Amino acid sequence: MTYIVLFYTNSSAIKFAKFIKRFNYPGELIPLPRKLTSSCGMGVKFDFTGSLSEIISGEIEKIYAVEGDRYQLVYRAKE
Amino acid sequence: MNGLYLDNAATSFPKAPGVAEAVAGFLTNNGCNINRGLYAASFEAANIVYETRELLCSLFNFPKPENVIFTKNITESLNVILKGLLKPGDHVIVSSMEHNAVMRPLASLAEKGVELSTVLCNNKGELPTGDLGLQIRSNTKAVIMTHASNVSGTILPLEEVGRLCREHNLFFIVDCAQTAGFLTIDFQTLKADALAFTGHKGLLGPQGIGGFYLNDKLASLIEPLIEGGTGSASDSVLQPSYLPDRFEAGTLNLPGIYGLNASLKYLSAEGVPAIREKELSLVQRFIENVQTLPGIQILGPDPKQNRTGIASLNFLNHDNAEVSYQLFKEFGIMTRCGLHCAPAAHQTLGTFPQGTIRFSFSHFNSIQDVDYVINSLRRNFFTSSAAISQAIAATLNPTHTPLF
Repeated sequence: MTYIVLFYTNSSAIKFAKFIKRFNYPGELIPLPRKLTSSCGMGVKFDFTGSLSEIISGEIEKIYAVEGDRYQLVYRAKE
Repeated sequence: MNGLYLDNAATSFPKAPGVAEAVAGFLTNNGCNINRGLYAASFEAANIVYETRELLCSLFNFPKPENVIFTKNITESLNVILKGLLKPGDHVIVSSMEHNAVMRPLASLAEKGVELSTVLCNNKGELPTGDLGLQIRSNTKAVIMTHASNVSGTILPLEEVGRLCREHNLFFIVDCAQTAGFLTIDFQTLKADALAFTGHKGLLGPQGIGGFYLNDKLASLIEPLIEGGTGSASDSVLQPSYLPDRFEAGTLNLPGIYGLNASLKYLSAEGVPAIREKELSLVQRFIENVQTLPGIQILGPDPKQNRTGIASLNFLNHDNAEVSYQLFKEFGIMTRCGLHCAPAAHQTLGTFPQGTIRFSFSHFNSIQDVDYVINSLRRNFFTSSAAISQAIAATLNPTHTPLF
């Protein structure tokens, strides 16, 4: 499954991109699609087959699953 | 640079190998902002900035890279922390060895109702930690303390201070302007809540880049001094609460961060203990030789004790400013004369208002450099015999020939 992860800060996005690189998950930093956020930040798009609970941290705001050109919200941090 | 530069406590020179190239490389080949444009060059710069936060974590044993905040220098760092934290009615404690980077913001806050107590150090600049406990009041909020005096080189016992702060639930804010890159500093062992640093002294980076680290608790209490664009949460007119963005509005000094990145890698490869050992050996040799000259007061602790790589001298039979000027004019030796932006420290050490001449060494200096200074002092101020002068001149280091 391909996911797009949104963070509160760009520093967290960079940190997460380093994390996926270390564990050889295919993916990269991307400009976030406007339909996912009105912020102008960056996020991480990556392929992952494990359970999302393994990667969720307090720095993650939302996670979308990418299905073709559709985005399905699969995680949202509690306010 | 022509001459012999011995003012490393003001700013280090030379910088670490690779610093100038890193700054120029960024400006020549990248030049992009971070967190704004989303293209490869911007991502590369963002990665270097993040890596620099990680390098600082590794150097100071900070727990979280995102809590490393970049500023233009340690003075700005201390202003952000002090002015963002302290409110009228709060009480803070400092030592009597603080630099004006701490004392001036506190003096300004005192006019607004912040209460300030000073723990008096002895005439070697040493802190009686027992006296610190006596100053604690019910409204004491924080202790702010320099890690080492920029005047006498005295190192303050911050581990004890940190322990005391933790026992009394006080915030502990550390100014490591004079010790970063010289002492092995462990933020967690110090039990500090915030640590302010600058890039251009012992960290051997360029001017214009500094920063601070603060824990989450302190971060939530400090109001940012500067607010503005962060490239994040751009749909809101409110400053983000998340770190580092909360305290990093506006474009960062990216050339400075590239330079600091290079200097931190150099420090990591060389090892801070090796740098300290070299600087200590130079300053000890310097002090031991100065002790043989009459009429010079040497400030600070015994040279064999724990101290930084600086030595402050007070010439009892000469005007310090004239000695400093002569050293430069006749021998090309660059020192810092005066009060070193630390009047409180000079009052403590007994050298206010005349000040001292400070010689501050770098690990790039050599034994020959030290001997050159000693011989220059002997030649100019402690003998009138031309024959002796000539004999000494023959031993002078040829790489540091007089400028005039």
